[in-house]
Amino acid sequence: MSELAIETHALSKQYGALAALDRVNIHVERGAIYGFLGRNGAGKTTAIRILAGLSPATGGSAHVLGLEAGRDRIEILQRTGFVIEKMLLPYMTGRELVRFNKGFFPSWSDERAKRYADALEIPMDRKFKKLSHGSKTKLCLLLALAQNPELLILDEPTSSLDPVITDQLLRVLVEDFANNGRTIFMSSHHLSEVEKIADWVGIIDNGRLLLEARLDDIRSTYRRIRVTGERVPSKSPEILTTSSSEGVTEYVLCAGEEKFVADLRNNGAIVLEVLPMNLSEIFLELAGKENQHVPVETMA
Amino acid sequence: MYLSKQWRESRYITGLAVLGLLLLLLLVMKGHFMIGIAGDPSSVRSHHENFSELFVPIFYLEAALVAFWGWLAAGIGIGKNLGEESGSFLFTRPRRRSWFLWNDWGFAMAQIAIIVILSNLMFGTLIRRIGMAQMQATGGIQFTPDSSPVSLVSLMILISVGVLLFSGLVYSVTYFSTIVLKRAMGVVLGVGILIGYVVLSALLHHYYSIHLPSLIPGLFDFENHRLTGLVGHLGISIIARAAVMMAFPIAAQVILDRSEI
Repeated sequence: MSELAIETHALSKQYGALAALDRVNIHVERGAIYGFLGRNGAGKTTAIRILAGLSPATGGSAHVLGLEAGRDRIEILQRTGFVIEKMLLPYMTGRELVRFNKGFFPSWSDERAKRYADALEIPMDRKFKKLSHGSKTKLCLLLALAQNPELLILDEPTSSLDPVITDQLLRVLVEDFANNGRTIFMSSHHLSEVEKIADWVGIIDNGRLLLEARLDDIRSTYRRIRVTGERVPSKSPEILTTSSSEGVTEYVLCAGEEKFVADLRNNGAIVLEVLPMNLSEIFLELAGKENQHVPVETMA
Repeated sequence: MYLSKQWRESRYITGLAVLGLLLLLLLVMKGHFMIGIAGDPSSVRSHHENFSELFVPIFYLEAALVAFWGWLAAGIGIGKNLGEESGSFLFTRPRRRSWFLWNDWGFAMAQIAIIVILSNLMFGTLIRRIGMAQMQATGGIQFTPDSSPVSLVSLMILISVGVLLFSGLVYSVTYFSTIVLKRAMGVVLGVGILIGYVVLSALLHHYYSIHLPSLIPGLFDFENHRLTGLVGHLGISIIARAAVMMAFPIAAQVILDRSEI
């Protein structure tokens, strides 16, 4: 059995001249909560659609639970809960959707469905089209959870939800699902939410995976270093980005902070500050659009 | 499971179809009184043509009504789901895309068959009652005074098959169109294709004397606008029409399997 719940190798998707995915390599360990981060249009949904077999890749390969996406689509769907577009059958009530859905999954649990409906306070007798956006999302999640999957793949599950509902959803995901050793792969551009629950993150931008690492490793090894001096290095494998302004050079380092600082000092540079970085800062560095895209959490 | 979704989506239009067929039944009864074919066996010779020609309006009206139902039903399958963006939900259920498609198609065809069989049982019973005397006198239904009689049962079966093939074709073409366009509005394209065929057929006939097969199976032979009997080679025609009808869901499956959802 593969140790990885999701594995892609050079996964590519081309729409005419546009590369929606460009040789993306994703590795999601079993039991992990993996935050797949990217701006709108970065390629997150395209990757998820390929994993679900809704869209074929134009290059590379993708495996889910050791099965080949596309070819083994049915088996993948039996063992994986997908929440992609938050749109079910609009004229059915929650209760009818549960009845409709359960027939597809031998591992379906009515008890689980009822528990989530109660816990998430979903009005199950209301038609889907008449539910609020939050309740729609919760119902989608309920259906995915009650099928008792080994892996949950969620596309922007918390987008445009209020903080209370977001908190409810995240708690259910972590406490009820992931704590049982199952895997969550969740795309988002809400960095603070991902930072709260994920243990792995992948950052994608313009169809290219820029970073994939354990969140703890990122927190402990990524540093922002400000330096003044004449002979500061411009290239090193550890340097993620470099920028200079008014005699101050700023590095974002992905590893080897101590050695790098020592080398700087040996070269006569003055190290002004060494700062730890949060996920949001790293995301902005990698996505490289800091001036155009400042999330609220950074401003706060 | 999926059956409940299909029934839920189609129940109103099915109710509409049943209502329409009941109206048609009333029309047939009304027609019977108007042409006055009941009762006296001595009236067989004078009324046999009216009696046998009762099947022509039944066939065409029933075909039109059930085909209209088929046209409406085609707008509530997967094409509609894709249009309202629930395709990604549906197609992340662990079934092949073709499973959904053939379930839709099979369910609609089963409904068409049930509607057609029930209504023709109804028509057959009614016609048997009102035309019993004539049929007993001639040993069946005679289209002309000299033609050999045809049994009512075989005639009703033939009408059922004809209506089923025409409605099935309308449903299949329209369903195919909803898959191509990925939305319920494909029904408009469907009707466009059917009308386009009729126009093309008329143009080819007018300018080049080329005869394309009609959309409605031609069951009856006419001479100087008078019904003279059943057409020949019906078996071949039925097989060919069934093949054409099946070609559309098969093409829809090929398209759906290759579609981005």
